[in-house]
Amino acid sequence: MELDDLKLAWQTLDRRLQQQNALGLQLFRDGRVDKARRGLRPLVWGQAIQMLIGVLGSFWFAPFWVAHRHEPWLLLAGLVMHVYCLGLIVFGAVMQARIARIDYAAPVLAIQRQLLTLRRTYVIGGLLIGLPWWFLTAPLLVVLTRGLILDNAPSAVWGQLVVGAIGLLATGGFVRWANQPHRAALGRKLGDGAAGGSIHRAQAALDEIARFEKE
Amino acid sequence: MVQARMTTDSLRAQFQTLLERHRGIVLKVANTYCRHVEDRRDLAQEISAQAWKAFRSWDDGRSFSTWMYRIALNVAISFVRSARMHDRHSTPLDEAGDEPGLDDEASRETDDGIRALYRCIARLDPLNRALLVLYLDDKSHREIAEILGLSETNVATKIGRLKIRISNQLGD
Repeated sequence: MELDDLKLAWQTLDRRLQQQNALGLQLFRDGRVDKARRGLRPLVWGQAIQMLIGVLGSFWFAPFWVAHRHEPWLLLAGLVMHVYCLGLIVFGAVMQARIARIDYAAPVLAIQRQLLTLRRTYVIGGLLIGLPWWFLTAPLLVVLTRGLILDNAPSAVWGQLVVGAIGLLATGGFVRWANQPHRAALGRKLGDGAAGGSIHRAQAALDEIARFEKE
Repeated sequence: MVQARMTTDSLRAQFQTLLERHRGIVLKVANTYCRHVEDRRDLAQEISAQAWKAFRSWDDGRSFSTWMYRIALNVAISFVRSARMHDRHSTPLDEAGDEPGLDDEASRETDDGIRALYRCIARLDPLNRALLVLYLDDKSHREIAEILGLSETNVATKIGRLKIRISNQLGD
């Protein structure tokens, strides 16, 4: 049997499917359209809320560092928090623009690549937004106390930074330890349950598209 | 407002007529990418819903079937990938998948052909499945290239390789 022989089977299958009512009677239902829209809604709303937090944060932190521009530590704390908030806005806007550009009527390879890149960007962006919080508690404390903590309990700020550095190093070290070849199974399990697994799977699918194009 | 509503209603009617005329595309793609009846139904409705969402951008000077194939394959591939990425129940076809319409009245020979077809589909990755569906549906190289976003030469090469691969599989 050759590929062309399968055409006969395909035509038979086509005729049978056309006669089947189970799938065909209500192919298009309004309720389903709403459900499809809801599918993307959490992502769109999530990004919108993130951008709103960024805007509110900017309105809070910008006047702070402007008012303390002659006090280096307060200026630095305010600037760090302001830049983080701008990052939230920019990342949210980039994601919103990418979601809006998705057009399922575009060629298959282009859209599949676009969807996978969107997924990878979303996961990496989530890490870039989440990991800085190992350190951001320190400048946030400085801003919230209007610098009083630097006078009254400076060790609390340095302590936060030290804990953050240890936490970040420990996170990196643990990921490295778990992904050593002889612990591949553990690494895979941890990766599957965390963002690393999502990035890996999105990248693998992107590689699959690239291979399909080159083959 | 009334005019806008009428426009939407007439657009919906036009869409439903076209969808009904090309329902074979939706059903074949859903059957190619999903094993279970429930998944097939979900996928078929997801394809129809996404097609309706994109319908305003359809240029009626262009082929509806090419447009529909792009949407159906894009939604189906994303559906399978999403199931894989979230470790959901298996949506790709297995070799022993539920085969539609294999009733007692069907001839044994044809049923064997359909089983062989399903076995071939099950062994292909989502992108090669798309290529196989379009080839089996007698789409020209130009149409396949337009739907997948490849060059015609590349399509010809891939079909040649697919023929060899399937011939080897069927010979196993």
